[in-house]
Amino acid sequence: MAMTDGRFVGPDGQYLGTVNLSGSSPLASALEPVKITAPRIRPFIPAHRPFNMNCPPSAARAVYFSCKSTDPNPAIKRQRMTTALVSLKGIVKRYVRGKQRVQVLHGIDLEIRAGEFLALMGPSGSGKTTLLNLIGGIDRADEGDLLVAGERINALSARQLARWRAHNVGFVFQFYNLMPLLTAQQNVELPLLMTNLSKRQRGANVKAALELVGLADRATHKPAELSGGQQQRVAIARALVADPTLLVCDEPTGDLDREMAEQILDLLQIVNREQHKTIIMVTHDPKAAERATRQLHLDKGRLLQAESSLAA
Amino acid sequence: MKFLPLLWSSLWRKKARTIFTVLSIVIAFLLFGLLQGINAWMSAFGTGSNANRLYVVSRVSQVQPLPNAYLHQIDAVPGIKQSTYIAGFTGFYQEKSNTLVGFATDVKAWFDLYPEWQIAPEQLAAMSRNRAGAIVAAPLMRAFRWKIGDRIPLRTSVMKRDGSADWDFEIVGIYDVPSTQAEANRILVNYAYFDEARLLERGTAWAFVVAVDDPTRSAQICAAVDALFVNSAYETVTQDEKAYVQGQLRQLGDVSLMANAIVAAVLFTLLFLTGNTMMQSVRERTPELAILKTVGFSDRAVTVLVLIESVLLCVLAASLGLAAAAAVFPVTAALGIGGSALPIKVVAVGLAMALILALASGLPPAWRAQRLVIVDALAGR
Repeated sequence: MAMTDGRFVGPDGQYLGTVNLSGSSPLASALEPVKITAPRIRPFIPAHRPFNMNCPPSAARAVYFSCKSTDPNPAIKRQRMTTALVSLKGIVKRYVRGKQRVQVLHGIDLEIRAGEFLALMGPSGSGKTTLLNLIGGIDRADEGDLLVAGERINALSARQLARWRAHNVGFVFQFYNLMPLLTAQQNVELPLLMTNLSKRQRGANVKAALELVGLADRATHKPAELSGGQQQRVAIARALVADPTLLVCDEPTGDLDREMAEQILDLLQIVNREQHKTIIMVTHDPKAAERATRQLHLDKGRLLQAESSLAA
Repeated sequence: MKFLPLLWSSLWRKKARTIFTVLSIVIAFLLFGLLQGINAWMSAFGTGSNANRLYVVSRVSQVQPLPNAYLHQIDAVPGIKQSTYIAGFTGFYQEKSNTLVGFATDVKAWFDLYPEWQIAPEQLAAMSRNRAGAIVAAPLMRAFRWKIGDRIPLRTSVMKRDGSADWDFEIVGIYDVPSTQAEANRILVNYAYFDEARLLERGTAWAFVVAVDDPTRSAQICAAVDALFVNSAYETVTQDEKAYVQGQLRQLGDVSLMANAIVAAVLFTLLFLTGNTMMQSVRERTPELAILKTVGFSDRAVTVLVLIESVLLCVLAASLGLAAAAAVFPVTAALGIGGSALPIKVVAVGLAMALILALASGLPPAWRAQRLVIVDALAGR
């Protein structure tokens, strides 16, 4: 991989993504080990098509699959960008802590389009992570209507919701949350264990996902043998391996130094642009939020502003 | 199989704890295998009993000798078809571990009384011609690679008149027994030769074996025999074969009760030990289980994983323990307790116990894992 005028270029000269840095900066050289190249990304997409045959594609998934980067039709791309992948109406969430009943979210209304890279910002306790958890289907709203990828997830049973998560959402956490005794490839394989994929198919997907994050050569390493940034890349590979529609990231750079954080943000940006994953990222870091295509601010459980901006 | 790496890594998360737990289970099931194996071996005694046979022994103790002269009086009791005496010795061949039991008896009468013991007629005839002859159980012949015509020196518990405890016999025949393991390490010698040569207790017998015409009259015949010797110096008690064998075992105490009590105590302790290990293991892995649920594992899948982990731990360790018991069991047989192989039934019951133990100790942590709320677990609440 090479970087020319801030653009990632593959060995054949094809455009891979843009980073707002000059090629001679220290960060650019630090990015080299990531090795995100087109030939590694491309096999990832067809490798996942068999998996998606196992789950009935929702309308949003159908849009997503018709809008891969290889699709030359700009009309389809526009359609993707205008379809609401996530729709929240009047979402209320309350917690009971001891004798205290705390309302965390106060009637949130929000639409997130397919292919967006959304940054959720706000002070601690503002409800960012709660909102992310609701969208990711690992928590349930007390009131309101929540549609993700065409599915009214509040109406799903626990079992259906688990299955829905397996097929539709990838999670990235601040502290990586990898299984300490499993290797990188075994960690990445976890979401595929509940599918009907054969061992060969699972292996192909895991290989593609690890290649995508530039860690194919570390497949047999355990988390303790990897740096923080590498662990987070393994976590991103795990989030991507089932080819989900949506990626939810809870402070993915919160535990990393600036250089590592930039690598992870570069990777997320490329996953958003080249793999067309819709990404919702909770962050405290304004620099990280700048990479998103839209920023939202939450305070005391209410959305303050909706600001659209494209990453440089 | 695809879950195996996940299960295996969970088991070995804390190596030392897992090793100690496995060792506890291995030792517990080694003990289970040995005790229940001996128990089963003892329970098998008397199962092939012949209802036609009665045993006359001293009322004081089964090891108290009775005068030989009793045999003629017993023979005269109506309903008795045939009888003989048993005396004998315990001893070993070359090494102390090569134990065997010698029965001194009227060999011809013996084979009439025990028709299930098979011998070639010419070998039986040879025995009557050779006073120092011996008829040996076929398994013993194979074990020591003896053949007919061999002279076998035995160190015994019975002293000869010359002051030596070493006896020489010449093998003249081989007998086969249908199944009972206890009869596989015996040799039969001529009572007349044995009684004449021994220093002590001459003219006595350990017991008399009696065959009756009609087994339904056994109770009356037993009473009639015992009535002959009431108020004598050597009172008798006459029993059928099964009662006689069980009586011999009772001299060792209620082995079955002791074995069951020990095994129950060990398994009960083990239940808490494994349950505690599993609970600790699941508690430590709360965030990891939450991640499994996050990436799409259902509550039921996580529950089943924890249960399988418990089953793997218990059943694998129990299998090792039972394998060790099977390896050690023949050694106990050499000491005169237990058979040559651990009964399959004991192994099957052991594995079933391990499964029950695994499910009982795995259920509380599995239940905890099932009820785990993802967001709380991830937040460390």
